[in-house]
Amino acid sequence: MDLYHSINIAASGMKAQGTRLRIVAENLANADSIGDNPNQAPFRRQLTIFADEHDKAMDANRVIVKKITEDPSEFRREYQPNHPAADAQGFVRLPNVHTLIELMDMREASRSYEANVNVMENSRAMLTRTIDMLR
Amino acid sequence: MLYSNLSVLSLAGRHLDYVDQRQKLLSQNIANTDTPHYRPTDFKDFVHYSGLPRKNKLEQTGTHHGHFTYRNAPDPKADAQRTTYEISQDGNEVQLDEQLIKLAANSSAHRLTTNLYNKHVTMLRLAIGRPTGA
Repeated sequence: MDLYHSINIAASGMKAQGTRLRIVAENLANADSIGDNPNQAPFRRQLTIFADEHDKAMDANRVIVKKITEDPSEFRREYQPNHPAADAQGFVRLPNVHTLIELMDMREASRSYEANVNVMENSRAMLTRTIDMLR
Repeated sequence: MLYSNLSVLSLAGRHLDYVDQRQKLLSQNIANTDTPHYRPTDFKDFVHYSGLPRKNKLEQTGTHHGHFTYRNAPDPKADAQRTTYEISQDGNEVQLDEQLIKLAANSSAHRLTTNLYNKHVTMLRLAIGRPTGA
C-alpha cells in the first residue's frame, strides 16, 4: 500500500538528516581540535552527500547518505608563536570549521527532519482514516 | 439511485488510490529536499484520471470488437515538475514550503473523499433499514 511506502520514504529522509546532524555535531565538537606539533594536521571539516536511490520493492526514490567526505578548503591560520603546533613563522593551523556555517547547516537539517516528521504524521493519519472506513 | 451511489463509491475508490500514490510522490520530494540535482515529481489533477467526461472534449467509443479500446481513466503518471520558482546551488529544485502545501492539500482531499464515502455508505445502510452506527 502506497501510504506505508510514504512512511518508509519519510523514514529514509529522517535517517539521512539524522546522519547529517551527527556530522554537524562532530564538526562543531572538533572546531578547535588541532595537532600538537607543526606537522600534524588539525581536524578537517566533514560533509554529508545525499543521493536518491530507487527502491524496486516500493517503486520509489528513497534518500541515502551517499558518502561522508572531507571539505578540501584551506585551514584557518592564527598567529600564536608560543604554541607547540606553531610553524617557523609562528602560525598555528586551525580546523576549517566555521561555527556559523555549521549552525546554519544544523538549522537546515533540523527543518528538513521536521518536514519528514510532518509527512510521516500526515501519512499515518490518512492510513488511520482509511482503516476507519471499515467500521 | 443505487447505481449512482455505487458509481460515486467507485469514483471515491479511484480518488483514494490517486491520493495515496500522490502522497508517495510528495514524500519522495520532501525526503530528497537536500539531494543534489533532484527534480520534484507530481501528478496532473485528478480530473485527468477520473474517467469523468470533460468539458469541450470529445470522447471515443468502441463500436466494434476489433476497435482499439480507449481507456477513459488512465493510471496516474508521475511527471517532473516543469516550473519551480527556485533552484538551489547544488541543482536541487525541491521547495519545501511548496511541497508541504501540496501535502496539506492532499491530506484535505483524502479527508473529503473518506467522509463522502462514509456518508454514502451510511445512506445505503439507511435505505436498507440497518442501524447507521452514528
